[in-house]
Amino acid sequence: MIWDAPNAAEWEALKLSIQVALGAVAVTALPGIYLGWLLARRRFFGKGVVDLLVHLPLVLPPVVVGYMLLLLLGRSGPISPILDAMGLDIAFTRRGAVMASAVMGFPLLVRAVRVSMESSDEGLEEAAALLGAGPLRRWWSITLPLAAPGIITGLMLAFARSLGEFGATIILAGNIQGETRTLPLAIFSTAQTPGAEGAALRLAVLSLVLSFASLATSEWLARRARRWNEP
Amino acid sequence: MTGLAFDVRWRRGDFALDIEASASPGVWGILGHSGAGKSTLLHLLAGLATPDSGRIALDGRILFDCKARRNLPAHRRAVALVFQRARLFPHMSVRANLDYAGKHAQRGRQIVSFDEVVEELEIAGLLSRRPRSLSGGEAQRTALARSLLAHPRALLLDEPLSALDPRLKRRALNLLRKIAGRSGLPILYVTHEIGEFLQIGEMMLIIESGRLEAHGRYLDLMMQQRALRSMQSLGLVSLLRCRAVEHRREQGITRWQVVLGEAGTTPPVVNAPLVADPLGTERSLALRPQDIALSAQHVCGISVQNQWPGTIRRLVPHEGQVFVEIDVGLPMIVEVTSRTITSMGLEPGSTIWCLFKSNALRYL
Repeated sequence: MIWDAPNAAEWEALKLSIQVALGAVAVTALPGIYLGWLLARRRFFGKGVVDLLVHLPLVLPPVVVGYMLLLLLGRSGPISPILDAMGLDIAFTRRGAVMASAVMGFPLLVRAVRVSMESSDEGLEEAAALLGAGPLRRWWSITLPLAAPGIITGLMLAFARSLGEFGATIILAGNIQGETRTLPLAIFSTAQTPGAEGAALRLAVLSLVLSFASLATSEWLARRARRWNEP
Repeated sequence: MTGLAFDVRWRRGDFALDIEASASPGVWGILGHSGAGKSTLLHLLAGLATPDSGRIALDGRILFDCKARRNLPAHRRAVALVFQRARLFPHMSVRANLDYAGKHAQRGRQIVSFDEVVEELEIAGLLSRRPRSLSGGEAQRTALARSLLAHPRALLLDEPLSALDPRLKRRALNLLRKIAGRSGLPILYVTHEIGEFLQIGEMMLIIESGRLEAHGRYLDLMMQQRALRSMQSLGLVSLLRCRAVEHRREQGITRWQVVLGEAGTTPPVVNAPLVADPLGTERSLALRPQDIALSAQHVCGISVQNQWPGTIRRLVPHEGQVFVEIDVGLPMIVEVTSRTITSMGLEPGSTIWCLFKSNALRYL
């Protein structure tokens, strides 16, 4: 019943959820931070379109995002020759689950980074340049540390979004146990199975604990970063 | 060619800047009213803004050349710019802020040592503090120190000492004068206070509405019609560099001996309001042209404390008034009406007494 310890498949779903979420954050971290900075600090041709595209997953139904990704990355999609050449299978694999999560969490990351970079003083980067620091050096020593609280918040939001990802994942990656069945998908499966209410509840509790732990960690990290910046 | 030579044009909306000038090593004042384009000029020279056309060279090195399509980015120009707002890095201690400059400075070049900067700008007690906890003046001192420790080839200062109290301001100005003297780098100092600037230099560029009105030695400029108009509202003064020789407490005055460049002449002594400076201290005192009266001879039985004989060098009429340059061992500028000139029969070469009250002297 519900008080039983989670079985192997349930532990596996938890482990997979964490792996997929970490993978999604790892894939999006650098491009997300860079794009957030671009949108905050640079003017370039097509900025509005880029902004719109990045935010699209935020407003589209996740299922639609998943479907579009499937069309794009699936076996008959336009990119499939390239993916084949690289030996990459995306649709209905763990990579697909990571990809779906990454796309869904990306706008949250970009947005948080952008807001924090917009609010930090550009004059400080100018001051660093006048002292002889080159662009890369300025980025590492001034831009990144000052935006750290926003970056941590963004990464954490993307991680949390991935833990809850369902719609895009089930379309692009399917619901394959041990491969793409993350916690939300496992809950969906058990909830549909008569007599497995206990398992569904256990999984829900696991999900709750995981989300809570990630939220607490992010809060702790962001607070540390803020204290480091503003004593 | 050593020094900073530039010829820049820049236009945004209604404002157009078009300035060609050069600054040899030494301290240059950039004077002009707010909105004249002083800060914009510094931004263009430092590489924070790009001129629409023109050329900038520093010690013969081309920093910007529109025709040759050369535009060195700010971090490769070795031009430091200190702003009125200190722009310290908030996530670093004061010491880390100073070290940041040293880390990126050009190897082998040193215009000042860490210890000297810390000592002269009185930063030792601030080193472990965070910028957020500093007062305005402390932050400005730190920012100036940081820029000096980058060991630049040119130093641009945009009212960087506005929040300092007079004593610390004097110390900072002295340090700048010293560095300019021994390192041979051009220092451009933006201010709208002639008196403050005269403590460290006498060469200036006067800018009005994005154009160069005049440039050269202060005393020469003062005798140019064109420059006078701008300078009058910027606090035209005569500057006396003095050494304290006596305190007369009962009379409420301190007697100062003027420090003269050339030997041989007897330096005049001036009576100024009593201050606590120990004897031997050097200070700059400023005297406005309209606070000096002229007399054909020494006057007895009068409350005016200071009476100096001198020789008239030049007369410069300006809007019904006349500016008179008088050599009293050092040049003094006196403003009188044109009627006074005719009624007293003043002309170059005539001997005249300058009279001014001790209260008319302002300590800088």
